[in-house]
Amino acid sequence: MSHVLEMRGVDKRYGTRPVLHGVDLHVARGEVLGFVGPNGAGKSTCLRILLGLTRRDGGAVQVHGLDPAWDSLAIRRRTAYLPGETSLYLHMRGSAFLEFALRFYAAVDLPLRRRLEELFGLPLHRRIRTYSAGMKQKLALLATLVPEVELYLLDEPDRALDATARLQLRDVLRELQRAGRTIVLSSHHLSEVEALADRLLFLHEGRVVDDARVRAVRDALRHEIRLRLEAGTPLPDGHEQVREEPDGALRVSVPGNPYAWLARIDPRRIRSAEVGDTRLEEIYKGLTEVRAP
Amino acid sequence: MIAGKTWRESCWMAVTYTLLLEVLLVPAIVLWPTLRPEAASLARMIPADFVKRLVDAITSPDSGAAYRAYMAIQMFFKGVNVVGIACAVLLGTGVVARERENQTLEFLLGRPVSRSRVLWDKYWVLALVVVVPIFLTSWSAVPLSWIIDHSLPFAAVTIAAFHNALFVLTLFTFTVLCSVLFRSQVHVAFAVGTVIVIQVGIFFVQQIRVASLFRFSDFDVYGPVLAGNVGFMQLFLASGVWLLGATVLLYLAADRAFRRMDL
Repeated sequence: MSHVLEMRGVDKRYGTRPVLHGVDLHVARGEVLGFVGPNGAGKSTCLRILLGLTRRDGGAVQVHGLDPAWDSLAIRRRTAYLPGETSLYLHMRGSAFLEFALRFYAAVDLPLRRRLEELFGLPLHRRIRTYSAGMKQKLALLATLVPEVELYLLDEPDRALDATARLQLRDVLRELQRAGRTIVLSSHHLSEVEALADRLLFLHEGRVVDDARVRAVRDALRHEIRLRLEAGTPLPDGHEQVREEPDGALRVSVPGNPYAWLARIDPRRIRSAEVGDTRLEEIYKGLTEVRAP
Repeated sequence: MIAGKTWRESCWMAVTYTLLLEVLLVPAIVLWPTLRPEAASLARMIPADFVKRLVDAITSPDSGAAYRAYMAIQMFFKGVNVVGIACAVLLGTGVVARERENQTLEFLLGRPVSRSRVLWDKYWVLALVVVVPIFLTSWSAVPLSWIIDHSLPFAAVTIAAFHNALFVLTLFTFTVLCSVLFRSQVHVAFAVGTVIVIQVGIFFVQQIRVASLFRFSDFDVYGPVLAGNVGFMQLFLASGVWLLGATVLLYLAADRAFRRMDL
């Protein structure tokens, strides 16, 4: 299987602060890679290096068989990029911005453009400064997904989107995936990334986290229950660890079946219960704990 | 497309700047007959040699020569050097720094367009915005002078306007370079402002005046041009070529810095 992009041992530092340490990654043609990690993990820096917007300090990078340090423009002609922390030209009207952003590309998917315009329902005649954060993100997505390119690098595409818009985005990305396009997307919403990605890559403190360690942490989390009980409710036996969270909820670790353990509590005393919480924050916390000796 | 967008964003500035130059120019022309008899008494109050030369010229018994000297001061030495430079700094400050501050730079550079192209498309449009009003207002002085029964030679006005435009363009290009190098518009404005204030300060100290950039654009340059004593090639070879060279070098430095800039 040919790789659309490949990074080997990539290092990057800003001044004296190291940001990436020997990052290795590769994405095959037609694959969707979910790129996850906490803020400051180096996800955006990786995407910028892939486009040649930021120079690497060490290692090798190839995108479409080209080195972004030398052939950034040729790579960008075949790649659409949605930056994570970006703003649009607020003084422009939505339609003018879209024309401006799309005119850089050799070809755009007009049916997809029409469909997305209809789906997102953006008031394109209005100036962008009057848009909500979600509307701005939809407009940025429109400008990024409509160009006909082979590779899409999307840094937090679901930022500021509501649940409906996230589902719409998921459908569009699936459609691009079916059309054989390669997609790399970073997100804080693990469920969104998992629903789409063929493969997940965790980045933590500038290092790619080993797959086996991620699996171990996620398995451990599957036995955790986040619980809110009426005051004075006793916990049944059979749990390993109880931790009180800042918001007053209890995090209980159960070695066996968490649902069977939960069933032993009087349901009228349970205010809320979440089993197998796989929020990214918990996974990151778990990864840090596993690494500590 | 970048050029079109840049023009739409800066056209109001071009109009305002042109009007400002014109607003300064019209009363200067109309008030000349009133100021003329008072000029000699003003001359005695001024210490620096170059200002004395300047006042001597506008108090010349030849009313035509005096008017041309006066216009060299009003139109170029004062008008364009103040308003033109202010406009150049205002426009140049935002070329890259504003995009970076507004977080639109990453979106723009993520498109398939080279950085050199981005910089050039912004540069030439804004350079025209800075330069064209200098020619337009300078040329307008020719028919305006007829109102007070004076005349200005069109060719000399054009030569002076060309040289003054080149001087403003150099400062504009320096501002563009700073806009690439510094992360915020305030820092750019501060850096360029500091350089200009120091240069103006040096200009007004007789002993070190020779070290000021404003020697390239003062009365000693424009006075002889409007008097018809210095032609285009003479002026260009004496100082224009340095300004042009500096502009090209500053632009190349800005282009290189922009291409090497890490986001």
